[in-house]
Parts: sequence; C-alpha cells; structure tokens
Amino acid sequence: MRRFLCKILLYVLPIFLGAIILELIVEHIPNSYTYKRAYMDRYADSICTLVLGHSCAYDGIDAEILPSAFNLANSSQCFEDDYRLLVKYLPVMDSLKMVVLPVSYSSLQMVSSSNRRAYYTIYMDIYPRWPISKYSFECFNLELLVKKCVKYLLNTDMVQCDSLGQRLGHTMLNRPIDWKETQSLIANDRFVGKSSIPYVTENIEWLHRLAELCENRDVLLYLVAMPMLPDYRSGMPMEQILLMEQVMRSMAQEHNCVRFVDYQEWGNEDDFWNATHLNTDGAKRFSIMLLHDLYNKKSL
Amino acid sequence: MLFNSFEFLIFLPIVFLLYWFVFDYAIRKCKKQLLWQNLFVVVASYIFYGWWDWRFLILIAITTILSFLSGIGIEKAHTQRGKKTVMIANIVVNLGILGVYKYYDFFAEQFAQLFGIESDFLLLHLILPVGISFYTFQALSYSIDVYRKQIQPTHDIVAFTAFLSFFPQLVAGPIERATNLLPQFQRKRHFDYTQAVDGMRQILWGLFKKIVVADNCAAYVDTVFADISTQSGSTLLLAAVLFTFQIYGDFSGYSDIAIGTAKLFGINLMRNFNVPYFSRDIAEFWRRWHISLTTWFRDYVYIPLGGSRPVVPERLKAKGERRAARYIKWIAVRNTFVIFLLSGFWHGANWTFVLWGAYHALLFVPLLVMNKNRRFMDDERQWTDIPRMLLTFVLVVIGWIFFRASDMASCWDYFSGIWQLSLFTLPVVENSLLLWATIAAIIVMLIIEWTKQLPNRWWLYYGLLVAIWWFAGQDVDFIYFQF
Repeated sequence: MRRFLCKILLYVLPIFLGAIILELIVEHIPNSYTYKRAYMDRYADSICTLVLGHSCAYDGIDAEILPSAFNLANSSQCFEDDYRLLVKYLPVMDSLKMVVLPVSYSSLQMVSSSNRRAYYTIYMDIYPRWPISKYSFECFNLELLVKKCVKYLLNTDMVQCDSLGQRLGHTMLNRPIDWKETQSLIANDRFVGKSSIPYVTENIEWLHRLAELCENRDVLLYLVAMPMLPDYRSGMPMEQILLMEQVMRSMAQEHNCVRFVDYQEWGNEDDFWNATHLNTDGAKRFSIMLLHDLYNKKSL
Repeated sequence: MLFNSFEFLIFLPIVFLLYWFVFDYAIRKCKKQLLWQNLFVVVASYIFYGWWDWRFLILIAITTILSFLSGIGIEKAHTQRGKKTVMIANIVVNLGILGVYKYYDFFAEQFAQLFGIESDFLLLHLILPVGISFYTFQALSYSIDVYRKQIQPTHDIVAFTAFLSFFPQLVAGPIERATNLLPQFQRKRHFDYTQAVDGMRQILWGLFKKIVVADNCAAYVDTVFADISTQSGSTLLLAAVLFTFQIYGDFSGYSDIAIGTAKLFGINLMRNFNVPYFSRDIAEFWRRWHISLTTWFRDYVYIPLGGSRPVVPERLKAKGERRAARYIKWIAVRNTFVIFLLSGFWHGANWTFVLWGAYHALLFVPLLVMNKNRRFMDDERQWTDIPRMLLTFVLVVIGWIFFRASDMASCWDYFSGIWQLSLFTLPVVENSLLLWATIAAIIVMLIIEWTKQLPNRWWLYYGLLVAIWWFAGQDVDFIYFQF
C-alpha cells in the first residue's frame, strides 16, 4: 500500500505543484472581472444606471452615453450572476435609479459554465470560494490557463473593456456579417426540448428575485430585448421566442418596478458585428436611443 | 457525481483510504471485518448515487430488497412451479418499475398521437433515474441465476446490496453477473499492488478516452446534429464518423474508469469492450461491443427462446430433416431480431433506437443464415483483414446515425443530406486546430488499442495526464447516463 501511495504521489505531485503555480500566476493577471470589481468597490455609490447581463449588453450598451452609468455586464453572465452582483452592491449604491438588464432568446436557458462561474467566485467574490469546489480555482482548465498566461506575456490587453465597462477589441469594429457564423449561432442558441425546462424555471425565479430587490429599493428594472438581425430571428424556433416575450411581459405585469422594452427589430446590418451583437457604432446609436427612451419616457 | 468531476476527485481517495486503512487494516482482527467493509461500500455507493438525486435511492433500495427476497423465496419454495412464480414476480415488478419510468411517457405520447388526442394529461413526466436500466438488469440476472441454480441465494443483505449498488458500475455498467461479482463481496479482499496499479492505469486511459476523445468529438457532433438541414454532405459524414468515436470513447472510457476503480478496491469487473472497431464482421462487432449487455440478452432472452438450437417439434421432425433445419433457422432468425430490437429499445424510448437495433439485426441475420456468424472467434488480426474491418466500420457508422438522431425525421434528413453534391466538398470546420487535435487523439487511441496495452512509460502517463487536464474544463455528460 505504501509503495502504491508513493507511486501515485510521484505522478500527481508535479501536476499539483504546476496547478498551484499556474493558479497563482493567473489570479494576478488583470481582467474585466477584476477591473469591474475594483470600479464597483470604489464608485458604486455614485452610479445612477447599472447595466447588467450578458455579452449583448457588454458589447451593445455604451455607459458613457447614459447618465452616471456603469456596464457591469460580461460574456455569458446569467440571471443568477446578475442577482448576486446586485445583492452585493445594492446596499452601497445610494444613487442607483435604474437597472438595465438585456434579454435574448437564450437568456432563460442559460446557466454559468464552470470556468465562468469560477471568475465570479475568484474575482468578483459573489459565490463562496470555500468549501472548495470546481468553481474555486481556474486551474481545472489548463487550456484557458495557458492561453491567458501566453496572452499576458505577449502584452495583450487582458482587461478588454473601456473605463465604464463596455467591451473593447477587434470584434467591436465594423465588419461584414459572416452568414455561416449566423447559422452556427442559431444552432448553438436553439434550446427547444425538455432538457432546458429546469433552467427556464430557475431563471424565471432569479428574475423574480432581481425584481423584488429593485422593488424594495425603489429602483426601476428595465428588461431590454436586445436588437438582432432578422436572419437570426427567423432561424430561431417560434416557441423559444414566444417564451422569452411572454415571460418578460408577465414580469412587467407582476412587478411595479419592471418595464419590458422590445428592441428586437432595431438597427440594420451596419450596426452589428455578428447577428446578435452590436459593434462600436451600433452600440453608440443604440445607447443614444436608450437614453432618450428610458430617461425621457420613464417616470421617476 | 460524474467520474470526471471535481466531486469524484475528492470522493474516490477518501473512500479508497477509508476502505483499506479503516475497514481492512484497522479492524482486520475483528470477526465482522468483512461485514463492516461491505457496509462501508454500501454507504459510499449510496452517497455516490444519491448525489444526483436522493429520491433515486428509494427505487434502488426497492429493487435491492425485492431481488434479495426473491432469491430467498426461490430457495424456500417447495415446488418448481413455486420457484418459477417467485422469479417471474421479481422480473415483472422490476421490469414494471423500469417500464413506468422509462417507457410510460413515450407510449402515452404515441397513443395520444395515434388517436389524435391531447397527451399532456396522460403524461407522468417522471425523471428517469440514472442507471436504472443497468441495475435492474443486474438484479434480474441474480434471481434468474438463483432459479437456474447457477448460484446459491445469499442471506447476506449487506453483501447483496453492495453487489447491486457498487458505485463504479452502478450507473453505466458493466452489467455484472451475480456469479462473478457477488462472491467477491462474500470473501475478504486484500490490497494487491499490481491490481491497484493496473486499476489506476485503466482509470487514466478511460479518462483520456472520455475527456480527450469523446468530449472533443461531441463539440463538433452536437453542433452538426442540432442543425442538420444547413450542413453539407461532407460535414454530415465527418460528424457521423466523429460520433462513432465519441460514443466509443465515452462508453468504453466510462467502463474503463469503472473497472479500474473497482480494481482499487480489490474487485474485478467483467470486460465490457474488446476493441470493437477492429471487428472483421458485424457478428464479431457484437461480441466485442457492450459485452455485458449482449451476453445478458444472449443468456436471458436468446437462449431461453431457443437460441440457434431450438427444440424441434415432433410433428416437424416427422416431415423430414430439411423441414426441421428450416424451422431451426427460422427460430434463430426470429430470436436474433427479438434481441436486437429489445437491445435497441433498452437504450431508450425512441423509435430511432429500435431502428438501430433492426438495422443491426438485418446485418447479422445473413451471417447467421449462412453459418458465418462465428467465423472470426480469434483475436489474431492480420493486415489483410483491414478491408473487412473498414467495411464493418462503415456499416457501424451508418447504424450510429440512427442512434444519434433525435427522431425519425432527423434520421431521414441526415441520410438525404449526406447524399448530395456537397459530399465532395471540404467539411465546414469552425476550429480546425481542435479537430486535428481530436483526430490525433483518436489515432493514439486506436494505436494503443490495436497493441492491446498501455505501454508502461512515465512520459506516456504524464502526456495522458496533461492532455486530460488540458481538456478537462468542458462539462459534457456521459452518453450512456441517459439510458
């Protein structure tokens, strides 16, 4: 038995030490999560408009245009992440008047993948790191670890967002739509079938909790159906589209503080870098329109 | 919990250390040492299984108690008829539980569609307990083997529960026979260094097949199957081939992890795969693929139905030898269809699985009729066998399309999609680097399986560990968990 245990240790120990070293290195590399956390820790009390949600908002809402706004959205950020972020920061957000939460056809079926959940655990501290779980460390995904370290060593900008949290990068530049990529997106985002039902129920529950948080603080919650290209919409199953619209409308009916605004048909091809995400120019135009609609039409 | 999960990474060492250091070394002199060790196996297995959903434990407990009592009932029954009644009662109840959870909603929907009525009020929406198909069959084999006097019924409920719920093979096999596994829980186990090292190597190999081969194939396959109508013929063909390796890597990888894990505890499980993609014909393929299930159907369905040597009725014997021979052939063909269709249906409540079973039956039957189904019983493959292996491989790939398609319409779309001019274009690949890495992993897998052993080289073990770690971030379920 002793010989067996020694042999196991001989193989496992170098891997274990390598994992610890890589984990320590990668946790010191700045990223959008560490930037946004630092910003929120410092300026949360002065934010009037908070943008939450996933990459559609991360790309598509320019916080510089909205009054005293900050874009706390991030790629694949799900409703549970949004809720926990709001729980953490709401107590110190004395100036908050409005929360903008984008929704898309796959929002109700989305849950955090393990590596993204790890980012919220390690860098934003909204999930407990202990007791230890697969979300407690980044080292479980060697591929991502190595890619991050290599990018950092090549002096790539690891934060990749502007000072108010909107994504920066080559993807945001104007470029022709890749229609094959649109087909891939449609294939990835189609969630029809029994397997997605448990997530839908959970996500609706998280939305209700978000709404209740806002209600208790007298903060308006805008559920924004983000723009997307007609080809993408026509490729999605109608039941999935109707489900999203129905849930958002019923949220607006059930909660006084919730408003549902539908911008699915806004924009043209020049505003997008892919079928569901606005490019830099498109985000500016959309944010200006959002400013007019949300701030001029709402009653404070 | 999954074998390739963080929770299992914590669970297994704790269970292993407690099993040997506490329930073997520490209490070695205790008279009930074996009882305590088996009880620990039961507790650990129930924790493992209950991790999915604690409600699943109720069903496996019911199956355990019923099957245990059936063994005693068969022993105590005075007449043969009484023994048979007890055995049949156990089969009916256990298959009934399996049938309700797995097939009720499917048949209710079919019934509703047939009569054009609303199906919602008919459906029970029961969650399919993980592994129910596997442990139910394992329990049935016990009571049938007791009835056939192939094994003495056990009066040790703890050993029996350990046999039925042993966590390495509980949720996706191998479907163990009581004659092999139960006696191992009835005698003391001693730590064996060679067995344990072999077990670790097998776990490592299984993780490589699952995480590096199967999960990377899944990344491509799932995207293609989600949107068949827009894919080119070559893309569909590539996805079909990758699925062939995905299901093998996934299922045989799981079996390897299960067998390797069992070895760590001094338990030997049966081999479940024997390099099936090097088969020289379909008959050999079915002797090498999911061996525990195919032998189960052979021993408990095919042979009781008469197998390929049924008893010829006297009235037919009187009509001459040729008539009798034709009868024997017809029964063998019928029985072959029965087990292939049942095997297909066992995999899931969908007509595509039945179609898959029927397809393989149609491939197998000509070999049976021509008495060529036992042509390749040896393990000695030559380079000249490669054309046969390739043909068998192509036939198997076609069958997997039925298996993977979500419904009959998708099946038809897939086949008609392959046979178009775009078959002669390059397949669409989003991430060519990942695809080439997957192909390289498949080649490594095939080379090692052709040579039938994992070379004992530390650099190979580190290479496998790093490859597993590289791709471990993906969250992909084992395919056979859905069965």
